[in-house]
Amino acid sequence: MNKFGFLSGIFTIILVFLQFIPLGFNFGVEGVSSIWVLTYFGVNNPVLSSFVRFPLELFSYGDRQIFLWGIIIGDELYLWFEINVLSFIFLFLISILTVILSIVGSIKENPTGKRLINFSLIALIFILLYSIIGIPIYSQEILGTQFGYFDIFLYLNYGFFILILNCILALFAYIKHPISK
Amino acid sequence: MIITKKLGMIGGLIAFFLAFFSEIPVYIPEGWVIDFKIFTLSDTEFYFWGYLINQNKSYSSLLLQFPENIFALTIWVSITLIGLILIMASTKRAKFSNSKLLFKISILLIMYLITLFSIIILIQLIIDITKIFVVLGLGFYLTLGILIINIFTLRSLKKE
Repeated sequence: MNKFGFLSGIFTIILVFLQFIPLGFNFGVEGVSSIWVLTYFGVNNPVLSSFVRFPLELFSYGDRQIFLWGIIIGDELYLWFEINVLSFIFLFLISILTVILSIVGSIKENPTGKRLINFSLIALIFILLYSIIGIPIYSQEILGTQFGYFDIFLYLNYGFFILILNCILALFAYIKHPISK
Repeated sequence: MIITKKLGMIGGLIAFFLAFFSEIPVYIPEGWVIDFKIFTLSDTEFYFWGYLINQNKSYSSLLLQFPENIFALTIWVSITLIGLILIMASTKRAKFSNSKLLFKISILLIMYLITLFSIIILIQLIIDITKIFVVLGLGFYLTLGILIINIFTLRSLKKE
């Protein structure tokens, strides 16, 4: 099994499905996880809560936070297909494809597995490039302000760095992919 | 060899608990919990992920802007990496040489964390050393436990 490929898949799952990583888990109704569940789902979370949120957004601009799955404006949560269809395809759908490719590829110890890991690496690089080139192009529609090409680098957040780390992991996964004879 | 690997796995899981959890309930009606705090200083309880004031307000320097967050980030990433490294090094199909290297890296990271926290605690306890058992939490002892597990597993691997 290709451990780097599997880890890369797990990192992509975290980025594409989560808004934050909860830290300081406790068991009670107080805490940020409870507030989050109450805000977005309108119900109390009686069992599991957490104290601190490790943010996973790619970029933060004012009250807008950009994720792989969508965007948060103030307290409102929008998925990409509601805001920008191209971002929905390039950020969300390709991310899902990357998850499947890297996990299936990491299990298969043959040339097909290596090819799948290669595809996932290319997809991740594509997502990274789209986030630094595509988001500024459509910034008027997404963020309400037209960005210059390099302005986006002023608003990077943890998610972006995890994405870079993920690309490096995928590269290692491609180089070290085991092929059993 | 199997016991060594299992111990490594247990060490990794403990490291993950320290990185993500504040407490685990043992018996909720009586309020019995396993608290993972590293140390307490005047109503503030310090954990690897941040700190709690008076048991109800929480903060984490992780959420500060760059570069103020680097210190907290280093501590949290270190303990998370230790968990990841120990589990990866303890899998059945892990290569012997790779496991040895990973255990060495993990020992270095744990020693860095223990030294860091020991300095902070000692500075605070310099006036009254008898308070050490009041101040130190289970998290600190578990970190020491991970270090012992790590040294034991590395020694066993070397012998084999």
